[in-house]
Order: sequence, then structure tokens, then C-alpha cells
Amino acid sequence: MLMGDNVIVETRDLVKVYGDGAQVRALNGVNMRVTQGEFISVMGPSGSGKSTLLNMIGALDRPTSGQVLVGGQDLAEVRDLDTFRARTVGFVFQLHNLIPTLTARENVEVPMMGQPVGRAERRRRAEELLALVGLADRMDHLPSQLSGGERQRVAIARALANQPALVLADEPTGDLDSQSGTEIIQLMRRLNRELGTTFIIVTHDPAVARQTDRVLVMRDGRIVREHQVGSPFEEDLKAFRDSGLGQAILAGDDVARDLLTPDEYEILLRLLRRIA
Amino acid sequence: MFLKSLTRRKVRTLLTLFGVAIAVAAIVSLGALAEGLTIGYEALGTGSGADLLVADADAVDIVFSAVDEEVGERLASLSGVREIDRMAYTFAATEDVPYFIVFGYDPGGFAIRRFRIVEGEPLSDRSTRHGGRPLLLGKAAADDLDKQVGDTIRLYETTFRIVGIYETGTPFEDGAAVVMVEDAQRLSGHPRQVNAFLIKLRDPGELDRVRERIERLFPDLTVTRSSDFAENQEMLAYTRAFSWAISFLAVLIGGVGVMNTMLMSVFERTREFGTLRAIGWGRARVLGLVLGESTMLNGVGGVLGVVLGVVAFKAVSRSPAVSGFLPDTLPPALVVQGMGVALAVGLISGIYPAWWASRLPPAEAMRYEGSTGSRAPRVRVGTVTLRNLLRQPTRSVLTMLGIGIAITAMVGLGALADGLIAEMEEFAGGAGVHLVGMQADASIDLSTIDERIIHRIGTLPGVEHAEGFLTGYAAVGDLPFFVVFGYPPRGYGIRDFTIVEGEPLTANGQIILGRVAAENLNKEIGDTIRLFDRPFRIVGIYETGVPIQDGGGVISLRDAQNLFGQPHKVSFFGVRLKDPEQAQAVKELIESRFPEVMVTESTKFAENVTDLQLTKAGSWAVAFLALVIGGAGMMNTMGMSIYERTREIGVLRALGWRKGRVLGMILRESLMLSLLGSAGGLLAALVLILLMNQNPSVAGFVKFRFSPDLLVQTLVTALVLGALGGIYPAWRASRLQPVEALRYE
Repeated sequence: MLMGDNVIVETRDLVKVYGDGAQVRALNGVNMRVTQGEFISVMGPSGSGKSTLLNMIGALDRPTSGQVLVGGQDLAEVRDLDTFRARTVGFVFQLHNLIPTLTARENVEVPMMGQPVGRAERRRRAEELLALVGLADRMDHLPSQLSGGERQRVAIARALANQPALVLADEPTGDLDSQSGTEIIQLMRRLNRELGTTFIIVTHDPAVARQTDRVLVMRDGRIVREHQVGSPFEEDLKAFRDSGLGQAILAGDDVARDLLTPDEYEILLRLLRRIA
Repeated sequence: MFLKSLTRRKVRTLLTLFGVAIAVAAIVSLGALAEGLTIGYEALGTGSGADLLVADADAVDIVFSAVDEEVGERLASLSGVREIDRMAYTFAATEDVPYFIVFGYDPGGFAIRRFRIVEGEPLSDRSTRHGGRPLLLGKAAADDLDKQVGDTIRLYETTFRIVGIYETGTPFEDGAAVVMVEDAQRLSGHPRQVNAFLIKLRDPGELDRVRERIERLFPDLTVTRSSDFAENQEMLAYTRAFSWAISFLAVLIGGVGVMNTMLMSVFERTREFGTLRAIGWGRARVLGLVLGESTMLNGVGGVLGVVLGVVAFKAVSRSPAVSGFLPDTLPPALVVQGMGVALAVGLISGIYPAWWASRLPPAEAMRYEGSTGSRAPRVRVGTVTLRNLLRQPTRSVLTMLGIGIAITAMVGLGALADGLIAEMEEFAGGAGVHLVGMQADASIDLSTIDERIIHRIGTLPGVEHAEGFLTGYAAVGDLPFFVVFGYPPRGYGIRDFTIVEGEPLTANGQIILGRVAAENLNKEIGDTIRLFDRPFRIVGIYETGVPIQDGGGVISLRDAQNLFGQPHKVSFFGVRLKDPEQAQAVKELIESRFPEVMVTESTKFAENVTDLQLTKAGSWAVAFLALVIGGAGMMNTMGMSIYERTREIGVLRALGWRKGRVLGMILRESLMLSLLGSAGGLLAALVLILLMNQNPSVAGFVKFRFSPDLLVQTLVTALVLGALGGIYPAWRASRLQPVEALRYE
């Protein structure tokens, strides 16, 4: 797997318009670059175009104008989009997107069906992947017999089935409690480090976004801000001190206590006092 | 409100409507056929102007009745009888029409008066001079056959000249022809015999007295009031029963479809029912709602079916081959009947879904997530295809039931037709016979050939031996169709009847019985059996392995000719050749010398007989009807199934599944559904065949035959049904846009 500064995803002036009459510009000129091995998130309010962007990158939908390049290849020129989807990208959706009649192992096998993978190899790989996501003892369970977190782990294993370079996750923690959500993000982070797979995670949960390397913030079909979560710690902290929430913490405002857990409040207060 | 729920799923509703409509159309059009025959027979009776009708007591239908003319003279001399008239009635093959109805009436009699001449002149002895025998043609027949006064028409091999066109207002008669009694007798091969005598009384008050008197004088004859005539015809009862059986089958399959649709509809609306209950609707109200929808659905289906039936009726009425058997307008009672059945089916099929919906606990129902959520399956056995079908077990089972019934009908009827054909082949191919002959273009029941022709055929070059035999029906005991064969006791043909007990037939007055007949009638050697009140002594029991033979009896040809009133006549004949290689040449020779006979190689007999071809065609038609309804249900089920799984299909496409793969998955499911349903239907049919073959009154007549061909036919049908039912839904599924499918709620 390639590492380093290779660009795996690039979009150029990406525009997507829905509807014939009352037109909705879901994407209004998006330019972005993702480097191989990155672990990034896309945030924004609902309707900001996050999912549409993901669908464009995953070749589920075609742009109205502009270009999407994945692995240096323009998707408009890819003839066989099915194979592209099967091999180059892996999808993780919100809950309820496993096939209910198939067991965990069979669900992981689904993307390998129709690819040149033998039956035995398919099975072996599915078991390996399920072991990797910590479900070695749940392989023959149906989705209805698994918890929400377990189902998402199956979905992650399924996304990795054909060893894609890129995994696209659309609100993967949306239907999970915060504990399971954290575990899922940590699992993806671990896989990102161990396998070198690039992850693009769409979320509206800041707690999820905080755990990624880079956050793209979208609004009205455009990328309006970009945060390097991994930037020097001091600078971030200073920026946070100047923000509304930082001021509220320092002022001992009730708003801060409501928004944060007592632990978080205590830690942040200590850090802010130190640089103040 | 009802309509709104039904229009939510347009395709499903349409397919269900289609199933119901076909069933109702079958009721209406087949009912019309039975009705047309009834009207025709009523006209024969009541319309004749007679008070009483005298016919053969044992004849299943008036067409098989033969009463000697001498009887007429004696009837005329009875006190109280004012006038008597003769009626002959037969079918003859004419241009394009295999069963053309021909009546024979006397020009001076009272019965012919109702044939109102609208063109040309009435039938009279003098009209013979025009060349060709005189014939009156019904108006409808004239139109259908495009004939005018002065034209000629051929009935069998005889040329008739049309002297007049008549109209009576009854299609049965207007689609037929009237000839002189003697000519009709020649056509039917029953000289000096009529089908019935019509009697006019001096005083209608004496009706019962005269009737009793005649029945006492002629125990072989039956006397009916002309107004009761139609309902005493057994053939009519069989036709009615047949039309009801097919309609019932169609309604059954259609009903299963309705139940399926309603069940799916209430499943989908579980939350709605919860809400309705929560805002104060009672159980009865919910029950009423669903029943109302189901009845509404069927009501609309019924209306469509009636329209379809009327269209079919109009289309068929144009064909000269059947127009005589249909009433000229569709009886309103049939429309009412069709609608009534449709509504009743709607009500009955709605009961279970309505009960299900009314029993939902409101709180739980409102929490219902749809079939992808809480109704997720608990099974993880079997193939993926099977698991998908098990998601909605009720629906799959109902669909399979529909297909199963259709396949049962197809196999059952096919086995019947094959049994008849196999029987005819064995029947014709016995005793080393190379060629079999019968009256050209005649129905097998009515075939008659003059014995002298057989003698002359026997002297033709290449022919070693030619021998005729006679067949007829008699009612014996509980058996309505006891088949009687008349063979020369020392001929070739009788050697087929291998004696297993007692002795062979040697003289008149004797009978040998088939093994099955002996068992059914509980008769032994030495007993006497009465055919048309003539006693026959049982001298032997035979077994041939051919049901129609083993279920009947053999008497001498002379006895049979006397019994059935056909002196010097035979029904069929067999020809042995000196050189079997010459079969084709001899066949051509016989047919060119004697155009009134049709000869086929004995192995090909069955395929050359019109009746058997019609039986086969009939069984195909019924099977087709059943399959169309079953196929609509199939398409419906698969359509619903992919509809429910829209999101799942989106996921599969997003994960890189090709269109072809999605198509294949859905097709496999529909094929499996169809194959499973067909396997069940086949099994049911086999049980049915087994039961039928053990039933004495059936086994004595025909043996249902399950051939490998039928197995292949079932398999092919199942595959075609599966493919047809699945291809459109599968295509739809494969065309789903992944993004839209994923967004689908």
C-alpha cells in the first residue's frame, strides 16, 4: 500500500444540482485533496452537502460539473463503476444497512461476490476481517442478533473486504450511543494505522471529528473551513481560549457546564488556566 | 378511503385486479356457453309447439337417441294424441365447422313451422328438383358461412342445395340447418329412426295420462313434457358442471391472489392501524375497513372481468364453429353471478387480513418498524434465495399455493387427455390391425359406416382382412357411461379381449364383461345384465389393460346393431394388410374409393381424431388460464419483494454488485418460488391421479396417464412462470439508482 504524499482523492470545482424545476445546488464548487493514509472527517449541518460529496467520491452518483479523481483517475472516464466501487472504495453506512437474511460472515462476503475471489478464500478473508474488528465469536449471527455497535463493526469489516485504498463512512456513529460511537471511531483509527487505509468520515458529531487528523467543514455546498486537528497544541488551545466556549469555561458560565461533562470541564479549565 | 389505500400500490392492485378479472371473465364466458346450450335445448322442446317429447330412455343426450319409426305409427293411433311429428338431430362436418348442427323435420309437420322463412322458399318435396337435396339454412349460419339461397353446401360427402333461409331467434337453431328427416337420417347413419317424436295432444289436461300410457307401452322410451326437456338432458348437466369446475379453479387462484395482496397491504400499514386504534377506532371499524377494501378491489376486478367476458363472448360469437352454442345476448343473470362471485371472493379473502389488522395491539403496532427491522428473520439455514423467500412466509406460501393449484390443474387435465389418447391408440392398434377407419370428419361418438363398404374394402388389393365393430353407450346400474362393443364373435378384433375367466363370446344374447366392469357392477359369470332392457348372459370376463375396454362389455356385432338401432352399421373398422409397408398406399386407395371414410395408421389414430385434439386443446386452454392468473400473482409477489428491499438493493449496488448480479438474485428467487409451488402442485396432481384411477366410475372409462412428457411440461411451465414473473421485477431492481435506493425510507 502506498504511503506518503500521494493524493488519493481530489475534487475540482465539483457541482451537483438536484431537481429539474426548483433546483437545489447540493454541491457548489468543492475543491479538496486527500492524501493517501489520511484519516479525515467532513462536518457540517444537515443539507450542507456532506453525503452528496461522499456519494460523488464513491461513484454512487455523477457530478453535474467538475471532476472527481480517485487514485489519479478521473471517475468520468471510468467505464466499469461497479468494479471501481467493489475494489477501490469501501462504504460504511448508518445502521440497518446489513442484509438482514445474511449472517455476519456472509455480509462481509457480499462485496467479494462477483469479484475473482474463490469461495474458500472469500470465507477465509471474511473470518479474518471479522476477527480484526473483534467479532471472531459472532460470525454466524444474523444482524438482528447483534448490538448496534457490533453491526457497525460488521459493516466496517465488509467495507474492507476487497482491500480498498479508501473507506467512505457516512454517519457511522449516527445511530449509536456515545460509548459505542467512540469505540467504532477508535476501531477505524486503528485500522487506518495498521492497514494504511484512507478514511473519509462524514459526521455532524464534533466528538467524532476531534478524533480525526483533519476536519473539513461544509456549509451550503462548499467547504468553508479546514482544521488541522494535529496542529501545534498551544495554538489550538489559544484559539479555543478565544472562542465562545473557552471564554464561558473561564468565566464559570453555566453554558459550559451544560455542554461539557464534569471531567471535560475540569480538564479544559486546568489547561486554559495554564496558558492564560 | 377504500380506493385511496388501494391506489397506493398501483402495480400490485392492477395485477390483483387482473387475476380476479380473468376468473370472472371465465365465469361469464363459460356460463354463456352452458346457457346457450340450455336455451337451444329449451327451444327444441318448448319451441316445437309439442306437448310431449318421446325419446330413447337411456340416451345421455338427445343426439344419441334413436327411436324406430314404427313407434311413431303406434303413438299416432293412441287416444288423446292429436298430431305427431318427427325430429332428427345430428352433427355433421361442413366447411370449417367440425360440429355443424343439422335438424331433420317433415315439411308438412307442425314443428317446422317455427322456422320462419326470411328468404327463398320453405322445405318441400318438390324442391328436390333444383338439384342437390333441399336444405334450409339458419340466418346466422348463412352469414357466418357466407351462403345465399341457391348456393350449395356439403355435409360430410353429400351436397345440399340451399332453398331457403330461416330465422327463429334462437342462436342454436339460427346457427344450424334443417333438412328432410330422411336426409338427416342418412347423415347420422340411422335410417328409419328419429331422435324424438313430438306429440300434440287433443287436450293438454290429459298430458299425464298419455305420458303414463306411452311409458307403459314402450318401457325403452322416455316421455317428457316439452318444457322439462332441457333439464332432463344429462349432457347439459355435464357442460354446466364443467363450466363451473373451470370457473371455480380460476376463482380459487384469483382469491389466493386477493388474499395475498390484502395481507401485504395490512402488513405495510401496521403503524397506521396502530394510530387508528390509538385515536379511538374500534376493532370492528378496522375490520370493516379492510373488508371494505378487499370487497372494493374485487368489485372493480369483477366489473373488469364482466367487460372482458363480454368482449370474449362477442369475439367468439363471430366464429361459425361455436356461435350456435352461444345465446345471442349475454344473459344478465351471468353478469350478476360473476359480480356476486367476485364480491364474495373479496369478502372471504379479506377475512384473515382484516382479522389480523383488527387484532393488532395499538402500542406495539405504532412502534412497528417495517419489514426490514423488527420482522427480521431468525432463520439462517438454507440458501440465500430460500432465506429471502422466508422473509414473508405467508406471502410466499400463498403465491406457491396459487401456482400449485394451476400446476395441479394442468397436470391433472394433461393426464386425462394423455390417458384418452393412449387409450385410443391401444384401442385402435389391437389385433395386428394396421389401419383404422371411421366416418370422415365425424365425432368418434357419432361415427357410422355401412357394413357393405367394409366388405368392399376387404376385397381391395393389399388388404388381407377388414372388419368393422360398433361402439355405443348404455346406462347400467350406477354407471352413466357403460361402453358396449359389438364385434363379430369369430373375427379378428375380438381376439384383443383376452378371456381371464369363463369362455369367449360365441353367440347372440351373450356378453363378456371387462374385469373392471365386472367388479364395479358386482357381476359374475352366469349372471344376467340388462342393456336397454334386453337381457344378456355373462359368459366370460376379459382383461385388455385398456380402461375403456375393461370398463365395458362386448356383445356380438348383430346384437349391438339391434341394440343401438343401427342395422348393418359399424362405428369403426380395422384393416390388416398383406404388407405393412404398403400402409400409406392402401390408405390412399381406400380414401379415394370411399370418400365417406377416413383411414389412419393405427398408431396415428389418436392424433387424427378431432375430438381428442379438442380435448387436448381444452386441457391446454384451462392450464393456460390457470397459469396466467398464477403468473400475475407471481409477478405481484416479486414486485412487492423488491419494493420492500429497495434500500438493500441500493447497498448491494454501492458495494459493487453489478446490475446483472442483482437481476440474477431476484430471478433466482422467483424461479425457486415457482419451482417449489410447481413441485407442490405436481405432488397434489399425482395424488389426484392416483385417487381418480382408483375411482370405479372413472377407472372404467379412462385411466389418467402421467407421462414423462407431462413432467417436462410441468418443469418448463414452472421455469417460464418463474422467469416471466421475475423478469420485470428483477429488471426494475437492477435499474434502481444506488443513491436513490439508499435514500429510500
